[in-house]
Amino acid sequence: MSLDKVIKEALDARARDVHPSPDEAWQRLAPTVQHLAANADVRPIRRMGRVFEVALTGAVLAGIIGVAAYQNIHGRPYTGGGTDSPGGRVHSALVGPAASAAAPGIPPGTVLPDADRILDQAVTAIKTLDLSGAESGYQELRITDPELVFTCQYSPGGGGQEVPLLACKFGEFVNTMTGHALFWHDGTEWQAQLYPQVEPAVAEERYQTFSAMGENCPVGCGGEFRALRQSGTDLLAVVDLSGGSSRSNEEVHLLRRDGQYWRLLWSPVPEAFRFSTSPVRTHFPRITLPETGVDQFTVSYDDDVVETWVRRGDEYVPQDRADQILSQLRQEAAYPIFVPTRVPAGLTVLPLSGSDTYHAPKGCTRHMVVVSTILILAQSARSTWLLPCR
Amino acid sequence: MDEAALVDRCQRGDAAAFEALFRLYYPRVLKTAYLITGDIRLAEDVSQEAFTQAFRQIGRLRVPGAFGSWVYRIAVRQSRRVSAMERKERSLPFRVTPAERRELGELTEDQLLVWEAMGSLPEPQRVAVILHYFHDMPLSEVGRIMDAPEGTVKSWLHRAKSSLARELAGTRAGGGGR
Repeated sequence: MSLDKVIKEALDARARDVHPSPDEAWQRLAPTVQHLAANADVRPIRRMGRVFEVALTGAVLAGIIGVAAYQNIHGRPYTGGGTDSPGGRVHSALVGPAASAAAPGIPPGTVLPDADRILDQAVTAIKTLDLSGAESGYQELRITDPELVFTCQYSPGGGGQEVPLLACKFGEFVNTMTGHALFWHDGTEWQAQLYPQVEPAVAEERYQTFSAMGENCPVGCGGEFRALRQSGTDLLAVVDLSGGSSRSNEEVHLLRRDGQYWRLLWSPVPEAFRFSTSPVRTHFPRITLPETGVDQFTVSYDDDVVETWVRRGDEYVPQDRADQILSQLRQEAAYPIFVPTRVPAGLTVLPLSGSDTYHAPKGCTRHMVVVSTILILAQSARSTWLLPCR
Repeated sequence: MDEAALVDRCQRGDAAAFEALFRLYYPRVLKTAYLITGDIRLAEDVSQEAFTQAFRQIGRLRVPGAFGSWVYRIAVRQSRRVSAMERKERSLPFRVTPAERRELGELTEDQLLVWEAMGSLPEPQRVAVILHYFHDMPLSEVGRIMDAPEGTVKSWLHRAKSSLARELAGTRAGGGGR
Protein backbone atom coordinates (compact mmCIF):
# COMPACT_ATOMS: atom_id res chain seq x y z
CA MET A 1 0.00 0.00 0.00
CA SER A 2 1.37 3.43 -0.87
CA LEU A 3 2.28 5.86 1.87
CA ASP A 4 -0.26 8.35 0.52
CA LYS A 5 -2.98 5.77 0.92
CA VAL A 6 -1.82 4.80 4.41
CA ILE A 7 -1.88 8.43 5.52
CA LYS A 8 -5.32 9.07 4.08
CA GLU A 9 -6.80 5.94 5.57
CA ALA A 10 -5.24 6.62 8.96
CA LEU A 11 -6.76 10.10 9.03
CA ASP A 12 -10.12 8.87 7.79
CA ALA A 13 -10.18 6.13 10.37
CA ARG A 14 -9.21 8.46 13.19
CA ALA A 15 -11.83 10.97 12.08
CA ARG A 16 -14.46 8.24 12.06
CA ASP A 17 -13.73 7.92 15.75
CA VAL A 18 -15.26 11.36 16.20
CA HIS A 19 -19.03 11.34 16.42
CA PRO A 20 -20.28 14.86 15.95
CA SER A 21 -23.59 15.75 17.44
CA PRO A 22 -24.76 18.82 15.52
CA ASP A 23 -27.96 19.00 17.58
CA GLU A 24 -26.10 19.19 20.85
CA ALA A 25 -23.47 21.54 19.46
CA TRP A 26 -26.11 23.83 18.01
CA GLN A 27 -27.87 23.98 21.35
CA ARG A 28 -24.68 25.33 22.84
CA LEU A 29 -24.06 27.78 20.02
CA ALA A 30 -27.59 28.95 19.36
CA PRO A 31 -27.88 31.40 22.28
CA THR A 32 -24.74 33.20 21.13
CA VAL A 33 -25.90 33.35 17.54
CA GLN A 34 -29.35 34.50 18.51
CA HIS A 35 -27.91 37.11 20.81
CA LEU A 36 -25.65 38.41 18.07
CA ALA A 37 -28.44 38.38 15.53
CA ALA A 38 -30.77 40.24 17.86
CA ASN A 39 -28.39 42.74 19.38
CA ALA A 40 -25.38 43.32 17.26
CA ASP A 41 -26.91 42.37 13.92
CA VAL A 42 -25.40 39.70 11.84
CA ARG A 43 -23.05 41.99 10.06
CA PRO A 44 -20.93 43.35 12.89
CA ILE A 45 -18.03 44.00 10.60
CA ARG A 46 -20.02 46.17 8.28
CA ARG A 47 -21.78 47.91 11.09
CA MET A 48 -18.74 48.51 13.22
CA GLY A 49 -16.78 49.51 10.24
CA ARG A 50 -13.40 50.83 11.02
CA VAL A 51 -12.99 49.30 14.42
CA PHE A 52 -13.15 45.78 13.18
CA GLU A 53 -11.41 46.48 9.92
CA VAL A 54 -8.53 47.79 11.94
CA ALA A 55 -8.77 44.90 14.33
CA LEU A 56 -8.70 42.29 11.64
CA THR A 57 -5.96 44.01 9.74
CA GLY A 58 -3.96 44.02 12.92
CA ALA A 59 -4.65 40.35 13.42
CA VAL A 60 -3.44 39.45 10.00
CA LEU A 61 -0.37 41.61 10.22
CA ALA A 62 0.57 40.34 13.59
CA GLY A 63 -0.42 36.80 12.83
CA ILE A 64 -2.20 36.70 16.10
CA ILE A 65 -5.87 36.02 15.76
CA GLY A 66 -7.93 37.60 18.43
CA VAL A 67 -4.99 38.80 20.41
CA ALA A 68 -3.82 41.49 18.11
CA ALA A 69 -7.34 42.29 17.17
CA TYR A 70 -8.21 43.98 20.35
CA GLN A 71 -4.85 45.39 20.95
CA ASN A 72 -5.38 47.26 17.77
CA ILE A 73 -8.60 48.76 18.95
CA HIS A 74 -6.66 50.93 21.37
CA GLY A 75 -4.78 53.96 20.44
CA ARG A 76 -3.75 56.41 23.07
CA PRO A 77 -4.43 57.38 26.63
CA TYR A 78 -8.04 58.17 27.16
CA THR A 79 -8.82 61.83 26.87
CA GLY A 80 -12.56 61.75 27.20
CA GLY A 81 -14.60 62.99 30.10
CA GLY A 82 -13.18 66.46 29.88
CA THR A 83 -9.96 65.58 31.62
CA ASP A 84 -6.43 66.11 30.55
CA SER A 85 -3.99 63.29 30.18
CA PRO A 86 -0.31 63.35 29.48
CA GLY A 87 -0.74 61.47 26.22
CA GLY A 88 1.94 61.02 23.69
CA ARG A 89 5.22 59.45 24.63
CA VAL A 90 5.44 55.81 25.23
CA HIS A 91 1.98 55.57 26.60
CA SER A 92 0.45 56.21 23.22
CA ALA A 93 1.81 52.90 21.99
CA LEU A 94 0.14 50.93 24.63
CA VAL A 95 -0.17 47.19 24.71
CA GLY A 96 -2.10 46.21 27.76
CA PRO A 97 -0.81 45.59 31.17
CA ALA A 98 2.03 44.33 29.73
CA ALA A 99 3.00 47.43 28.78
CA SER A 100 5.25 45.85 30.62
CA ALA A 101 3.44 42.81 30.92
CA ALA A 102 0.25 41.33 30.06
CA ALA A 103 0.23 41.33 26.33
CA PRO A 104 3.76 40.65 25.31
CA GLY A 105 2.53 39.00 22.17
CA ILE A 106 2.02 42.37 20.59
CA PRO A 107 4.93 44.20 19.04
CA PRO A 108 5.78 47.28 21.08
CA GLY A 109 4.69 50.42 19.39
CA THR A 110 1.58 48.95 17.86
CA VAL A 111 -0.80 51.78 17.07
CA LEU A 112 -4.20 51.30 18.56
CA PRO A 113 -6.93 53.68 17.48
CA ASP A 114 -10.54 54.07 18.66
CA ALA A 115 -9.84 53.80 22.36
CA ASP A 116 -11.71 56.92 23.37
CA ARG A 117 -15.06 55.73 22.11
CA ILE A 118 -14.64 52.37 23.84
CA LEU A 119 -13.63 53.91 27.14
CA ASP A 120 -16.43 56.47 26.95
CA GLN A 121 -18.93 53.65 26.66
CA ALA A 122 -17.25 51.73 29.46
CA VAL A 123 -17.53 54.76 31.75
CA THR A 124 -21.23 54.94 30.94
CA ALA A 125 -21.54 51.25 31.80
CA ILE A 126 -19.64 51.68 35.06
CA LYS A 127 -22.10 54.34 36.14
CA THR A 128 -24.80 51.69 36.04
CA LEU A 129 -22.88 49.44 38.44
CA ASP A 130 -23.80 49.73 42.07
CA LEU A 131 -20.40 50.03 43.65
CA SER A 132 -21.54 51.77 46.80
CA GLY A 133 -20.35 49.64 49.64
CA ALA A 134 -18.79 47.13 47.26
CA GLU A 135 -15.69 45.38 48.51
CA SER A 136 -12.57 44.54 46.57
CA GLY A 137 -13.17 41.89 43.98
CA TYR A 138 -14.44 40.94 40.56
CA GLN A 139 -16.74 43.15 38.51
CA GLU A 140 -17.92 42.75 34.94
CA LEU A 141 -19.39 45.14 32.43
CA ARG A 142 -20.32 45.14 28.77
CA ILE A 143 -20.62 47.66 26.00
CA THR A 144 -22.37 47.19 22.70
CA ASP A 145 -20.69 49.31 20.05
CA PRO A 146 -18.38 47.57 19.52
CA GLU A 147 -19.58 44.64 21.55
CA LEU A 148 -17.01 44.10 24.22
CA VAL A 149 -16.89 42.55 27.65
CA PHE A 150 -14.77 43.98 30.46
CA THR A 151 -13.66 41.78 33.36
CA CYS A 152 -12.31 43.83 36.19
CA GLN A 153 -10.88 43.89 39.66
CA TYR A 154 -12.38 46.58 41.87
CA SER A 155 -10.57 48.42 44.62
CA PRO A 156 -12.82 50.66 46.71
CA GLY A 157 -9.91 52.70 48.04
CA GLY A 158 -9.45 53.48 51.70
CA GLY A 159 -10.07 57.19 51.78
CA GLY A 160 -7.57 60.01 51.61
CA GLN A 161 -5.98 60.01 48.19
CA GLU A 162 -7.11 56.47 47.45
CA VAL A 163 -9.95 56.25 44.96
CA PRO A 164 -12.59 53.75 43.87
CA LEU A 165 -10.82 52.04 40.98
CA LEU A 166 -11.43 49.33 38.41
CA ALA A 167 -8.61 47.64 36.54
CA CYS A 168 -10.05 45.77 33.59
CA LYS A 169 -9.11 43.66 30.67
CA PHE A 170 -11.48 43.71 27.77
CA GLY A 171 -12.16 42.05 24.48
CA GLU A 172 -14.67 40.36 22.30
CA PHE A 173 -14.76 37.05 24.12
CA VAL A 174 -13.45 35.88 27.42
CA ASN A 175 -10.64 34.02 25.71
CA THR A 176 -9.68 36.84 23.40
CA MET A 177 -9.51 39.67 25.89
CA THR A 178 -6.36 41.54 25.36
CA GLY A 179 -7.14 45.19 26.00
CA HIS A 180 -6.52 46.69 29.42
CA ALA A 181 -7.76 49.85 31.05
CA LEU A 182 -8.08 51.69 34.34
CA PHE A 183 -11.21 53.47 35.56
CA TRP A 184 -11.35 55.52 38.75
CA HIS A 185 -13.64 57.99 40.44
CA ASP A 186 -11.86 61.23 41.20
CA GLY A 187 -14.53 62.40 43.64
CA THR A 188 -16.53 64.08 40.93
CA GLU A 189 -16.79 61.67 38.06
CA TRP A 190 -15.37 58.50 36.60
CA GLN A 191 -12.14 58.85 34.69
CA ALA A 192 -10.55 56.32 32.36
CA GLN A 193 -7.35 55.57 30.59
CA LEU A 194 -5.71 52.67 28.87
CA TYR A 195 -3.27 50.79 31.00
CA PRO A 196 0.12 52.48 30.84
CA GLN A 197 3.08 51.30 28.85
CA VAL A 198 6.61 50.89 30.02
CA GLU A 199 9.44 52.50 28.18
CA PRO A 200 10.01 51.08 24.70
CA ALA A 201 13.23 49.29 25.55
CA VAL A 202 11.64 47.24 28.30
CA ALA A 203 8.54 46.62 26.22
CA GLU A 204 10.71 45.39 23.41
CA GLU A 205 12.62 43.12 25.74
CA ARG A 206 9.46 41.66 27.15
CA TYR A 207 8.01 41.17 23.70
CA GLN A 208 11.09 39.35 22.52
CA THR A 209 11.12 37.16 25.61
CA PHE A 210 7.50 36.15 25.45
CA SER A 211 7.31 35.90 21.68
CA ALA A 212 10.18 33.44 21.71
CA MET A 213 7.93 31.07 23.59
CA GLY A 214 5.75 30.29 20.66
CA GLU A 215 3.69 31.68 17.87
CA ASN A 216 0.20 33.06 17.91
CA CYS A 217 -0.57 33.52 21.53
CA PRO A 218 2.52 33.58 23.65
CA VAL A 219 2.21 33.33 27.35
CA GLY A 220 0.83 36.54 28.61
CA CYS A 221 -1.76 37.40 26.09
CA GLY A 222 -4.94 38.21 27.88
CA GLY A 223 -3.23 38.99 31.14
CA GLU A 224 -5.85 39.28 33.83
CA PHE A 225 -5.94 41.50 36.88
CA ARG A 226 -6.04 39.39 40.02
CA ALA A 227 -5.65 41.85 42.87
CA LEU A 228 -5.20 45.53 43.58
CA ARG A 229 -3.84 47.40 46.56
CA GLN A 230 -3.74 51.18 46.95
CA SER A 231 -1.67 53.38 49.19
CA GLY A 232 -2.06 57.12 48.71
CA THR A 233 -1.68 57.69 45.00
CA ASP A 234 0.22 54.43 44.48
CA LEU A 235 -1.37 51.27 43.14
CA LEU A 236 0.01 47.75 43.22
CA ALA A 237 -1.63 45.52 40.59
CA VAL A 238 -1.23 41.77 40.29
CA VAL A 239 -1.56 40.51 36.72
CA ASP A 240 -1.92 36.86 35.82
CA LEU A 241 -0.21 36.08 32.54
CA SER A 242 -1.28 32.47 32.36
CA GLY A 243 -3.65 33.17 29.49
CA GLY A 244 -6.46 31.11 30.86
CA SER A 245 -4.37 28.24 32.11
CA SER A 246 -5.40 26.73 35.40
CA ARG A 247 -1.94 27.41 36.78
CA SER A 248 -1.10 30.92 37.84
CA ASN A 249 1.64 32.92 36.22
CA GLU A 250 1.49 36.21 38.03
CA GLU A 251 3.54 39.33 38.23
CA VAL A 252 3.06 42.71 39.81
CA HIS A 253 3.12 46.33 38.67
CA LEU A 254 3.51 49.52 40.68
CA LEU A 255 1.63 52.54 39.35
CA ARG A 256 1.20 56.09 40.56
CA ARG A 257 -1.54 58.58 39.84
CA ASP A 258 -0.16 61.93 38.81
CA GLY A 259 -3.03 64.35 38.47
CA GLN A 260 -5.45 62.62 36.14
CA TYR A 261 -3.18 59.92 34.82
CA TRP A 262 -1.77 56.66 36.11
CA ARG A 263 1.77 55.93 35.09
CA LEU A 264 3.77 52.79 35.54
CA LEU A 265 6.57 53.19 38.04
CA TRP A 266 7.87 49.65 38.12
CA SER A 267 7.31 46.23 36.70
CA PRO A 268 9.59 43.24 36.64
CA VAL A 269 12.02 42.96 33.80
CA PRO A 270 11.68 39.67 31.95
CA GLU A 271 14.23 37.76 33.95
CA ALA A 272 13.15 39.00 37.34
CA PHE A 273 10.62 36.29 38.00
CA ARG A 274 11.70 32.79 37.32
CA PHE A 275 8.80 31.93 35.03
CA SER A 276 9.89 34.46 32.48
CA THR A 277 13.16 32.78 31.78
CA SER A 278 12.05 29.44 30.52
CA PRO A 279 9.94 28.38 27.58
CA VAL A 280 8.35 25.91 29.94
CA ARG A 281 6.51 27.49 32.80
CA THR A 282 7.59 25.33 35.64
CA HIS A 283 7.36 27.48 38.69
CA PHE A 284 3.96 29.14 38.38
CA PRO A 285 4.39 32.19 40.58
CA ARG A 286 1.48 33.41 42.63
CA ILE A 287 1.59 36.87 44.17
CA THR A 288 0.25 37.73 47.59
CA LEU A 289 -0.24 41.37 48.45
CA PRO A 290 -0.08 42.64 52.02
CA GLU A 291 -3.29 43.32 53.91
CA THR A 292 -2.53 47.02 53.77
CA GLY A 293 -0.02 49.21 52.04
CA VAL A 294 2.27 48.52 49.14
CA ASP A 295 5.58 48.11 50.95
CA GLN A 296 6.13 44.51 49.91
CA PHE A 297 4.65 41.44 48.32
CA THR A 298 5.45 37.77 48.30
CA VAL A 299 5.87 35.41 45.37
CA SER A 300 5.04 31.76 46.01
CA TYR A 301 6.16 29.16 43.52
CA ASP A 302 4.75 25.70 43.13
CA ASP A 303 7.93 24.13 44.47
CA ASP A 304 7.27 25.84 47.80
CA VAL A 305 9.86 28.53 47.33
CA VAL A 306 8.61 31.84 48.63
CA GLU A 307 10.27 35.12 47.79
CA THR A 308 9.59 38.36 49.59
CA TRP A 309 10.03 41.45 47.48
CA VAL A 310 10.40 44.67 49.43
CA ARG A 311 10.00 48.20 48.25
CA ARG A 312 13.08 50.35 47.80
CA GLY A 313 11.99 53.76 46.57
CA ASP A 314 9.92 53.29 43.48
CA GLU A 315 10.91 49.71 42.83
CA TYR A 316 10.84 46.33 44.51
CA VAL A 317 13.80 44.10 45.15
CA PRO A 318 13.90 40.55 46.43
CA GLN A 319 14.77 40.33 50.06
CA ASP A 320 18.16 38.79 50.27
CA ARG A 321 17.50 35.46 51.84
CA ALA A 322 21.06 34.42 51.15
CA ASP A 323 22.25 36.99 53.63
CA GLN A 324 19.99 35.55 56.28
CA ILE A 325 21.06 31.99 55.61
CA LEU A 326 24.75 32.71 55.41
CA SER A 327 24.61 34.79 58.53
CA GLN A 328 23.19 31.81 60.34
CA LEU A 329 25.82 29.50 58.86
CA ARG A 330 28.60 31.84 59.87
CA GLN A 331 27.44 31.69 63.42
CA GLU A 332 27.57 27.91 63.36
CA ALA A 333 30.73 27.45 61.31
CA ALA A 334 34.15 26.68 62.70
CA TYR A 335 35.76 27.90 59.51
CA PRO A 336 35.25 31.06 57.53
CA ILE A 337 32.52 30.92 55.01
CA PHE A 338 33.29 32.32 51.63
CA VAL A 339 30.59 33.69 49.47
CA PRO A 340 31.45 33.94 45.82
CA THR A 341 28.49 36.08 44.96
CA ARG A 342 25.39 37.53 46.46
CA VAL A 343 22.23 35.57 46.03
CA PRO A 344 19.24 37.84 46.00
CA ALA A 345 16.31 35.52 45.92
CA GLY A 346 14.67 32.23 46.64
CA LEU A 347 17.20 30.01 48.26
CA THR A 348 16.68 26.66 49.80
CA VAL A 349 19.35 24.90 51.75
CA LEU A 350 20.30 21.32 51.02
CA PRO A 351 23.08 19.31 52.67
CA LEU A 352 25.86 18.20 50.37
CA SER A 353 27.93 15.47 51.94
CA GLY A 354 31.43 14.30 51.09
CA SER A 355 32.88 17.60 50.01
CA ASP A 356 35.17 19.91 51.85
CA THR A 357 35.65 22.45 49.14
CA TYR A 358 33.49 24.93 47.47
CA HIS A 359 33.51 26.97 44.38
CA ALA A 360 31.20 29.13 42.44
CA PRO A 361 30.23 27.48 39.21
CA LYS A 362 31.73 28.98 36.14
CA GLY A 363 29.81 31.97 34.93
CA CYS A 364 27.97 32.57 38.18
CA THR A 365 26.92 36.18 38.19
CA ARG A 366 24.41 38.09 40.19
CA HIS A 367 22.19 38.31 37.15
CA MET A 368 22.30 34.59 36.58
CA VAL A 369 21.70 33.84 40.18
CA VAL A 370 18.23 35.20 39.75
CA VAL A 371 17.39 33.15 36.75
CA SER A 372 18.97 29.75 36.98
CA THR A 373 20.06 27.03 39.29
CA ILE A 374 23.65 27.84 39.81
CA LEU A 375 25.19 27.19 43.11
CA ILE A 376 26.84 28.75 46.00
CA LEU A 377 28.65 26.46 48.36
CA ALA A 378 29.29 27.45 51.88
CA GLN A 379 31.37 25.38 54.23
CA SER A 380 30.48 24.87 57.81
CA ALA A 381 32.19 22.87 60.52
CA ARG A 382 29.86 19.92 60.13
CA SER A 383 29.00 19.86 56.49
CA THR A 384 29.12 21.63 53.23
CA TRP A 385 25.98 23.34 52.23
CA LEU A 386 24.62 23.59 48.79
CA LEU A 387 22.52 26.66 48.18
CA PRO A 388 20.72 26.45 44.90
CA CYS A 389 19.87 29.81 43.48
CA ARG A 390 16.35 30.12 42.28
CA MET B 1 -31.60 25.88 -0.71
CA ASP B 2 -28.04 26.23 -1.93
CA GLU B 3 -25.17 27.39 0.16
CA ALA B 4 -24.88 30.81 -1.47
CA ALA B 5 -28.50 31.55 -0.74
CA LEU B 6 -28.05 30.52 2.88
CA VAL B 7 -25.05 32.80 3.22
CA ASP B 8 -26.99 35.64 1.66
CA ARG B 9 -29.78 35.12 4.19
CA CYS B 10 -27.22 35.06 7.02
CA GLN B 11 -25.80 38.33 5.80
CA ARG B 12 -29.27 39.78 6.11
CA GLY B 13 -29.53 38.59 9.70
CA ASP B 14 -31.20 35.21 9.40
CA ALA B 15 -29.99 33.00 12.26
CA ALA B 16 -32.00 30.06 10.96
CA ALA B 17 -29.99 30.12 7.77
CA PHE B 18 -26.84 30.02 9.80
CA GLU B 19 -28.12 26.97 11.64
CA ALA B 20 -28.49 25.24 8.29
CA LEU B 21 -24.92 26.11 7.38
CA PHE B 22 -23.77 25.00 10.80
CA ARG B 23 -25.40 21.59 10.44
CA LEU B 24 -23.87 21.22 7.02
CA TYR B 25 -20.31 21.96 8.05
CA TYR B 26 -20.04 21.23 11.76
CA PRO B 27 -19.12 17.53 11.45
CA ARG B 28 -16.27 18.20 9.04
CA VAL B 29 -15.04 21.19 11.02
CA LEU B 30 -15.08 19.19 14.24
CA LYS B 31 -13.16 16.35 12.67
CA THR B 32 -10.62 18.73 11.20
CA ALA B 33 -10.10 20.39 14.57
CA TYR B 34 -9.76 16.99 16.19
CA LEU B 35 -7.15 15.83 13.70
CA ILE B 36 -5.13 19.01 14.29
CA THR B 37 -5.40 19.15 18.05
CA GLY B 38 -5.66 15.43 18.79
CA ASP B 39 -8.11 16.22 21.58
CA ILE B 40 -11.87 15.95 21.15
CA ARG B 41 -12.69 18.45 23.88
CA LEU B 42 -10.37 21.03 22.41
CA ALA B 43 -11.83 20.28 19.01
CA GLU B 44 -15.36 20.95 20.28
CA ASP B 45 -14.28 24.26 21.79
CA VAL B 46 -12.46 25.23 18.63
CA SER B 47 -15.48 24.39 16.49
CA GLN B 48 -17.80 26.45 18.64
CA GLU B 49 -15.45 29.39 18.51
CA ALA B 50 -14.95 29.02 14.77
CA PHE B 51 -18.65 29.12 14.04
CA THR B 52 -19.15 32.02 16.41
CA GLN B 53 -16.46 33.94 14.55
CA ALA B 54 -17.96 32.90 11.25
CA PHE B 55 -21.34 34.25 12.24
CA ARG B 56 -19.91 37.51 13.49
CA GLN B 57 -17.84 38.03 10.40
CA ILE B 58 -20.08 36.63 7.71
CA GLY B 59 -20.60 40.13 6.42
CA ARG B 60 -17.03 40.01 5.18
CA LEU B 61 -17.60 36.94 3.06
CA ARG B 62 -17.64 38.32 -0.46
CA VAL B 63 -18.11 35.02 -2.29
CA PRO B 64 -21.14 33.36 -0.70
CA GLY B 65 -20.36 30.05 -2.34
CA ALA B 66 -17.02 29.93 -0.54
CA PHE B 67 -18.48 29.54 2.94
CA GLY B 68 -17.09 26.03 3.35
CA SER B 69 -13.47 26.81 2.70
CA TRP B 70 -13.84 30.05 4.66
CA VAL B 71 -15.11 28.34 7.79
CA TYR B 72 -12.43 25.67 7.45
CA ARG B 73 -9.88 28.43 7.33
CA ILE B 74 -11.22 29.95 10.55
CA ALA B 75 -11.31 26.55 12.22
CA VAL B 76 -7.80 25.67 11.12
CA ARG B 77 -6.45 28.93 12.47
CA GLN B 78 -8.26 28.46 15.75
CA SER B 79 -7.03 24.89 15.98
CA ARG B 80 -3.45 25.93 15.34
CA ARG B 81 -3.66 28.67 17.92
CA VAL B 82 -5.18 26.41 20.56
CA SER B 83 -2.85 23.59 19.65
CA ALA B 84 0.18 25.84 20.07
CA MET B 85 -1.05 26.97 23.46
CA GLU B 86 -1.82 23.47 24.63
CA ARG B 87 1.52 22.15 23.48
CA LYS B 88 3.17 24.55 25.86
CA GLU B 89 1.17 23.03 28.66
CA ARG B 90 1.32 19.35 27.83
CA SER B 91 1.79 16.86 25.07
CA LEU B 92 -1.24 16.51 22.90
CA PRO B 93 -2.67 13.00 22.92
CA PHE B 94 -1.73 11.55 19.58
CA ARG B 95 -0.60 8.37 21.26
CA VAL B 96 -3.20 5.65 20.85
CA THR B 97 -3.95 3.89 24.10
CA PRO B 98 -4.26 0.11 24.21
CA ALA B 99 -8.00 0.44 24.81
CA GLU B 100 -8.35 2.68 21.78
CA ARG B 101 -6.24 0.29 19.77
CA ARG B 102 -8.74 -2.48 20.45
CA GLU B 103 -11.57 -0.24 19.33
CA LEU B 104 -9.67 0.73 16.22
CA GLY B 105 -9.43 -2.85 15.09
CA GLU B 106 -9.94 -1.84 11.52
CA LEU B 107 -6.72 0.15 11.50
CA THR B 108 -3.60 -1.56 10.28
CA GLU B 109 -0.38 -1.29 12.24
CA ASP B 110 0.93 1.11 9.60
CA GLN B 111 -2.09 3.34 9.95
CA LEU B 112 -1.74 3.37 13.72
CA LEU B 113 1.91 4.25 13.38
CA VAL B 114 1.13 7.05 10.99
CA TRP B 115 -1.39 8.55 13.38
CA GLU B 116 0.99 8.38 16.31
CA ALA B 117 3.83 9.81 14.25
CA MET B 118 1.57 12.68 13.23
CA GLY B 119 1.78 13.93 16.78
CA SER B 120 5.49 14.51 16.48
CA LEU B 121 5.39 16.30 13.15
CA PRO B 122 6.00 20.05 13.23
CA GLU B 123 2.66 21.74 13.39
CA PRO B 124 2.58 23.24 9.87
CA GLN B 125 3.48 19.88 8.37
CA ARG B 126 0.77 18.13 10.35
CA VAL B 127 -1.88 20.65 9.33
CA ALA B 128 -0.82 20.49 5.68
CA VAL B 129 -1.08 16.69 5.75
CA ILE B 130 -4.54 16.84 7.27
CA LEU B 131 -5.86 19.37 4.79
CA HIS B 132 -4.33 17.65 1.80
CA TYR B 133 -5.13 14.05 2.66
CA PHE B 134 -8.23 14.27 4.82
CA HIS B 135 -9.91 17.07 2.90
CA ASP B 136 -8.41 16.12 -0.47
CA MET B 137 -7.51 19.75 -0.92
CA PRO B 138 -5.15 20.75 -3.71
CA LEU B 139 -1.91 22.37 -2.60
CA SER B 140 -3.10 25.79 -3.70
CA GLU B 141 -6.13 25.56 -1.40
CA VAL B 142 -4.01 24.31 1.50
CA GLY B 143 -1.75 27.29 0.92
CA ARG B 144 -4.65 29.71 0.98
CA ILE B 145 -5.92 28.30 4.25
CA MET B 146 -2.48 28.25 5.85
CA ASP B 147 -1.37 31.59 4.44
CA ALA B 148 1.60 29.97 2.78
CA PRO B 149 2.85 29.76 -0.80
CA GLU B 150 2.09 26.59 -2.67
CA GLY B 151 5.78 25.74 -2.82
CA THR B 152 6.02 25.91 0.94
CA VAL B 153 3.06 23.58 1.30
CA LYS B 154 4.68 21.19 -1.12
CA SER B 155 7.84 21.27 0.95
CA TRP B 156 5.92 20.68 4.18
CA LEU B 157 4.16 17.68 2.69
CA HIS B 158 7.40 16.27 1.34
CA ARG B 159 9.11 16.56 4.71
CA ALA B 160 6.10 15.16 6.51
CA LYS B 161 5.95 12.15 4.25
CA SER B 162 9.68 11.59 4.65
CA SER B 163 9.33 11.65 8.42
CA LEU B 164 6.36 9.31 8.37
CA ALA B 165 8.13 6.95 5.96
CA ARG B 166 11.18 6.89 8.21
CA GLU B 167 8.99 6.13 11.19
CA LEU B 168 7.34 3.24 9.40
CA ALA B 169 10.63 1.88 8.08
CA GLY B 170 12.25 2.17 11.50
CA THR B 171 9.45 0.30 13.19
CA ARG B 172 9.47 -2.43 10.59
CA ALA B 173 13.23 -2.78 10.87
CA GLY B 174 12.87 -3.00 14.63
CA GLY B 175 10.41 -5.84 14.35
CA GLY B 176 7.34 -3.68 14.23
CA GLY B 177 5.94 -5.39 17.23
CA ARG B 178 3.59 -3.64 19.52
